[in-house]
Amino acid sequence: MREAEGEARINLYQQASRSLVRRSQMSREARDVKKIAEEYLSNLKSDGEIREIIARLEIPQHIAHLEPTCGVEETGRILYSLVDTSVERVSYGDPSSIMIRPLREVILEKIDVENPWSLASPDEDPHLALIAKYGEDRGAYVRVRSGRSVGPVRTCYITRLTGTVQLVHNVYVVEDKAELQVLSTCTSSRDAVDIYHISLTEVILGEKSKFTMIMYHNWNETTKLWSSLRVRAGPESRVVLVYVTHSPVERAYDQVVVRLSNNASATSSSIIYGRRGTYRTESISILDGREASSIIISRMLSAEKAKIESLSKIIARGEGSRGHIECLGVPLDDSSVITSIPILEAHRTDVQLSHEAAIGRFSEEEITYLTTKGLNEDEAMQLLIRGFVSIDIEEIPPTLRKVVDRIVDELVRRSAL
Amino acid sequence: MSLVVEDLHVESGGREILRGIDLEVKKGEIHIVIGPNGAGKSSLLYTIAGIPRYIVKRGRIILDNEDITSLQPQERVRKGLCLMHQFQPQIKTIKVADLENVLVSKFGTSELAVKAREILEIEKLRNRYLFVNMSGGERKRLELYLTLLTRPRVILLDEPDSGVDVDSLVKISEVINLIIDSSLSCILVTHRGDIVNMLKRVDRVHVMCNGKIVESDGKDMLERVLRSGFRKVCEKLKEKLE
Repeated sequence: MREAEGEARINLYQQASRSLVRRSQMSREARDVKKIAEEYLSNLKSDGEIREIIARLEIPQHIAHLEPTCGVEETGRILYSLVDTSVERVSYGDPSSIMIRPLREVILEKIDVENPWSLASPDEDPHLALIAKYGEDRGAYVRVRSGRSVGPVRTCYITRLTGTVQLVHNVYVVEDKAELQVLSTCTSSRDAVDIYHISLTEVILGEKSKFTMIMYHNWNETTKLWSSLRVRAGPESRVVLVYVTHSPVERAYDQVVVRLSNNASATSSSIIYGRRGTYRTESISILDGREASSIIISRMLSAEKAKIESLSKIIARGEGSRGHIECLGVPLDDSSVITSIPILEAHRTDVQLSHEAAIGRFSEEEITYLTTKGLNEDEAMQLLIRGFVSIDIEEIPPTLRKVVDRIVDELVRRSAL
Repeated sequence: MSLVVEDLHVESGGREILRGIDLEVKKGEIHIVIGPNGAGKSSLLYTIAGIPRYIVKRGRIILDNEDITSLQPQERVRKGLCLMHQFQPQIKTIKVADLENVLVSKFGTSELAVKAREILEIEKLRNRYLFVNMSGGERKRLELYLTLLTRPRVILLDEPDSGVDVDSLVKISEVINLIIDSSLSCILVTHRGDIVNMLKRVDRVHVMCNGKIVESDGKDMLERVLRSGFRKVCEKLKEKLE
């Protein structure tokens, strides 16, 4: 029954999205966001790329109805997926624990006017302006009720059509003492070329809540990616983020900004195996609250002319706040480039900030040692790579841990090719 | 399994460090190699284990009638020869459990390794990164266990007693006594006599000076040499060379 209701709702939603009438029904807040976006975009007329993106968005997109597969097994019973530019499937969980709906509906029905666009603004960046103008049609709103624990919620973003521009805006709200686990996978078919994925995810965490998210990018090499994850962590909340990309892309930009209140803590990890493209990641933790803490871990492997740049920054403003950055990079050949930029910014005398950054091949001593224990050089290298990318976060729940392990297996397999 | 070293001349870093070593370890025998710093004791074991920076200029290493002089370290391990390192690299990315799993899947398990695991208290180290921030005793206990996981029939122990606490030394010697009981062949390099006194049996003691074995005899010689120091023995070599 609930599934039928869900289908009906999607149909209605899709019809509505094609109608201009819908605009007049939008909330004032949403219209304001659009206005800002339009104004901002109009100032960027000289930017050919932005105009090109907008032009593409006017091309009617074919709606595919095949069962989505994201390269890893489905682990969650609750699923939200986006195929090309159409909402493919929304499964609703137990409504007493979780609400999952297209973001557009939430805005139209004024279910939550406070949180969308509370952590980002369309005038920050043209990509955000595009999302503001078009992305709400293609994003999820997930809200976990107070005291409930939900997960893993699985979100899928799939592109199968050449020239697809996928614009996504997600909002996750985790109420006080609640927990949400999310597995987000992005993939594109081998045949589709010239793909652009642009996404914004806003995460708002209540007091003593917990949020775990695994983001897995597995695009094809014609993909351009721009993604921003913004998190506001309430008092005593816990944030665990793992971001993995291991397929060649044309260009990838990933940004994670976590703002932490009193006694909130975050571990933000990224694993990039870059090949034949340019990759830039920015992970920024802002320790606003008293005793807030953050660890940023970055692991980079580069090959085949890839250029990887990783910026990690911790800004400590709260009394007694603590932060640590660990950036390690291993170039697998001489044609690729890794740049690591750790930044620590202290605004008080009682904060503790540290960083460790190193780039270099695995040492000959390590490889020789392993060969004296019976491993050949390839096996030794694979074991070292596996260890290098197996970020150890004990808090990752077993269901998600399995997925991370599988992703690591795949990464090690590809690095050995 | 027997090990024979014939007229072994070795260079490392452009310097001759072993200058004609002859040695035979028969199946189940335990040999002790002692000598001052820089005598070439560890270099002898590294060469036998096949570490590439030790270049054999002359001579042969024969394992059970097979010349293994040109084999890679991993090929020697597969033939049943394994080295316990004196110094282990700290590998920040590999957990003890990960390497243990790989070695068990590659070599299977043995009763000796299972017993050693318990005696050496490896369970406590399982979730730690390889040799990272470990005490001297922990490092040696772990290294001995990992060496046994390769199911060696000839085992090369490079100073298993250096830099370890008394409790660890007791545990390590207990496991070496199990190795002796299991009829594995063994060469043990040491600076001091303490560990030798804790062993059930010693078949032969060799004194090395300046890249050569200058004297070989039974266990009694060890006490004599340790009492008088290496100087006397090494001077004998000098006189001989002159």
